[in-house]
Amino acid sequence: MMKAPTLASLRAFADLHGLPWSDADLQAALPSVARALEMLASLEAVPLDEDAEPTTHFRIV
Amino acid sequence: MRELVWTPVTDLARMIATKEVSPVEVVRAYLDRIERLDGTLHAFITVCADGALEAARAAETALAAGQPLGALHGVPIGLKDLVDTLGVRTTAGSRILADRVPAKDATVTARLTGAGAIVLGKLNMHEFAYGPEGLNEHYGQTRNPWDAAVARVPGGSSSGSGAAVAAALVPAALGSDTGGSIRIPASLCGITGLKPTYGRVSRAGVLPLSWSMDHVGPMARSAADCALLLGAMAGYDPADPTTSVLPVPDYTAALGRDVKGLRVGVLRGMFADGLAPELRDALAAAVHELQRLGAIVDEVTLAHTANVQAAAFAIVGSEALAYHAASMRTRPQDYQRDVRERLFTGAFVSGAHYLRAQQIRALVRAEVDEALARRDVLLAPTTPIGATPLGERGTRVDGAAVDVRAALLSLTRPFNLSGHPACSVPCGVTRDGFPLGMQIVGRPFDEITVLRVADAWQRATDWHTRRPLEETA
Repeated sequence: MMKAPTLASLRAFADLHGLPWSDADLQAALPSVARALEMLASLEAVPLDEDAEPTTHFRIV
Repeated sequence: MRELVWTPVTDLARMIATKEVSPVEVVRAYLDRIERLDGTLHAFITVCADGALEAARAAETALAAGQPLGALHGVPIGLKDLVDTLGVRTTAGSRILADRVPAKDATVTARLTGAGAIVLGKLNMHEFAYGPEGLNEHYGQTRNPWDAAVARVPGGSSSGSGAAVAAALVPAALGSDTGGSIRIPASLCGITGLKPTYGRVSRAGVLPLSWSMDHVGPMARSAADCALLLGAMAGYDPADPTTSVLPVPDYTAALGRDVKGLRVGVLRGMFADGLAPELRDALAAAVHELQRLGAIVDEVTLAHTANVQAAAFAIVGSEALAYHAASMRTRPQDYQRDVRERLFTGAFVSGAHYLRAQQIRALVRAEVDEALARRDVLLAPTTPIGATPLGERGTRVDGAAVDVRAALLSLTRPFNLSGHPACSVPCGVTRDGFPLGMQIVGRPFDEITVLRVADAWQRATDWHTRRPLEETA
């Protein structure tokens, strides 16, 4: 279970990734990040046959 | 002159070829209209007036000399401003690429101009194609031409393409579609937009949002016009390794045929939930009309589409960030806020998330293939809502709160993941008179059948012939 993002956690994340964002920008991004993390959690929760081959080279024909 | 700009591409091409109208006259008519209306609509980022007139004069000379003519000889078009044009700046609607002038044409530009089309200009878009509303802070906000009183979203990301075609600033345009960016503005602006099969049209020279999800396709006022454009630009391109070697059929052969005996699967489940009531009625009427025309209709549900939004976010989020990583580190303030935040969220997608999303993608594709194994096309709404006021992030449908951005993307994204061709056609209007669209989805590389159904629908109905409110006043 992922923790809800905070300004401090986004600050650390942005610094680690070399993203020179202001605190105001990070604060404004909190709702978007929370929604993104929810989507990624839902992705992890999808019951998948782990033998399912991912579409890594996408060409229909 | 006013009616000339509303002439279908198919008729314009014929009228030019038979010298009923001159390419110069046609180009001037559109340039006059752009001059008159684009100060309000902001559909264009760059208008190529001099280049277009020069090309029109050359087209006229070629006609007079009896030279062989391409299928689009003398027909003006607009290009979304992420399609490269030799010597004409191509910005992707961004400040970051504001001064970018390509040294060569995109393959689609070269093919369309090779068929005789004349580029009128470069069309506005959601910055870097990363948004379904069509928002742009840098080049003026494109407005939905159907808006009479309140500024409404045109839909995106191909917002300028949708608005320009709907307002007859161009007879046809190119868009790109990563999560619905051709079909969403087509739906909200009341025009026709075709996302071809992944691999049918080259992406070489088209600035990417997400390499594995991007599709390039035509936007026009009818399926017949889209068929003509698709034929001129489709086909294998060594510069795009994902293009198919399958031969390009004559898409105009799809036109004028009936749909008797064709099997149409109406998508249920998430495609039928949370729709504006007027859209539910419009779809029911469409099903009835297709049955009256002889189609055999049943219903079908796609179970894996419930996971599409999360999978699409993981794929597009990480691919888009990969492209923008350097600029996000050095010029974050040069992105508009919503796009900057969206790119930032891509940094939370791990490699495992990405591959899990690609597993879901394989399942979605197999499921759509299976649904189409026993049917010729699938039918679904394009967007669950019509155009909302600019700046409105939420709306209500049947009393329920709805996030506008999520709603706009919800029904189109499945076919970006699966790669199947899908064409949005107008099918009704909201209570306030704003357009609504439905999409016709076909088997891979079977654009012929998709266009056949869309064309039959448009010959039986008049939704696609309606004009924005100021035109009918």
